Amino acid sequence: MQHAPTADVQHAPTIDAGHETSTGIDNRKLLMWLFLASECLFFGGLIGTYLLYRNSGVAPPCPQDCVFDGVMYQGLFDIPFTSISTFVLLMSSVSMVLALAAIQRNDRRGLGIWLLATALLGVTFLAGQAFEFTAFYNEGLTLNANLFGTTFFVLTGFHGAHVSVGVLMLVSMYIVSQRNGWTKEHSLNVELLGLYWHFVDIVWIVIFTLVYLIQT
Amino acid sequence: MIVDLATLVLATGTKAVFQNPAYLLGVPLVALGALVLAIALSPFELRWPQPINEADLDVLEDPPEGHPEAAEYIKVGIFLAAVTALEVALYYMDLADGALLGMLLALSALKFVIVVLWFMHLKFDNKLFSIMFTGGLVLVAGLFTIVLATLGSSLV
Repeated sequence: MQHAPTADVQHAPTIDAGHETSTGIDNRKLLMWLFLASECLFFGGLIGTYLLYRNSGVAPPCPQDCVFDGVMYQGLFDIPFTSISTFVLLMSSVSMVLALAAIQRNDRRGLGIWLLATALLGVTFLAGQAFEFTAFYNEGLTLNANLFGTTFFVLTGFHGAHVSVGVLMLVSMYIVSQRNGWTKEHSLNVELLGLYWHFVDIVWIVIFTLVYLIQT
Repeated sequence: MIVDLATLVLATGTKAVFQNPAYLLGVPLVALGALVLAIALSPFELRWPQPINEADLDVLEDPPEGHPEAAEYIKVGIFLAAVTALEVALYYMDLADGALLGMLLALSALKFVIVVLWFMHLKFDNKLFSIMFTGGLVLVAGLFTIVLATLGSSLV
């Protein structure tokens, strides 16, 4: 038995929303924002823990220059290098939003180019993080070296894991979108991934300032 | 002022490269970012291999109502990059701790808000999203206040 579409269904917010919602908002987008709100608390807890314990170490190495047993130890942070990583991640946010703008104009080729550019910039950021972690490890900073090492690696490691997941989703979306011939009707999918990617970017904006630049 | 700032950044960068060759890793990254910006800002349309089937060609349309054009996103991106450069420059300037802390926090908050409003579209989207996200941030602020005030922190 077939039902004729009602006027409400015809005016659903997006073409692939499937059904009318009480909020008038697509459920997937609502869920993504709820997820991001919960992620705020997740990263808030990690950043708070880092700020609390970063100077509580009873052994070197330290984030900035420090003295232990009369010996001066040079700080580990490499601000010019991390600044470049930050710039790379910021630019990836620009390319992500350009991917969304492309699919909203029905430009599938543009979508593919910008999705790949975003993934490439994400991988570059991850390579920089791997380089930094290796350099810190060679200086003696490990997960259990001191409280600074524990909180730093957990915080930045979880952020890196989020970036890695984002890169995997970007590459997957590139393949699916090009293979299935996505049109502007699929723009919500790109927008949802974009929300995740921009969130990862704003978390790094906070980490860069609170962890790297502010050293007291 | 701008010339002094540029000189400072250039001198710091050159000195850093000579001190530690690992900084050279940043050169391709800067080149990559510049390339992306150059492509994005180029007035010439890039020519990609054309599909054989003409029916596969996309029909370009205007962006949805309320959403900015691509050019506006690029302007916002350039502004964000400039603010980041300012943050790093401030880090190397000999400023009082309190002033530096205030300026860095303000610039970071500015970048955060701009990304959320423009790139995440909260400026143009349903207010319910803003309420939900702000709710998360308020909870984080509460968490920070309680934990740092209770246990003490080197930040405050």
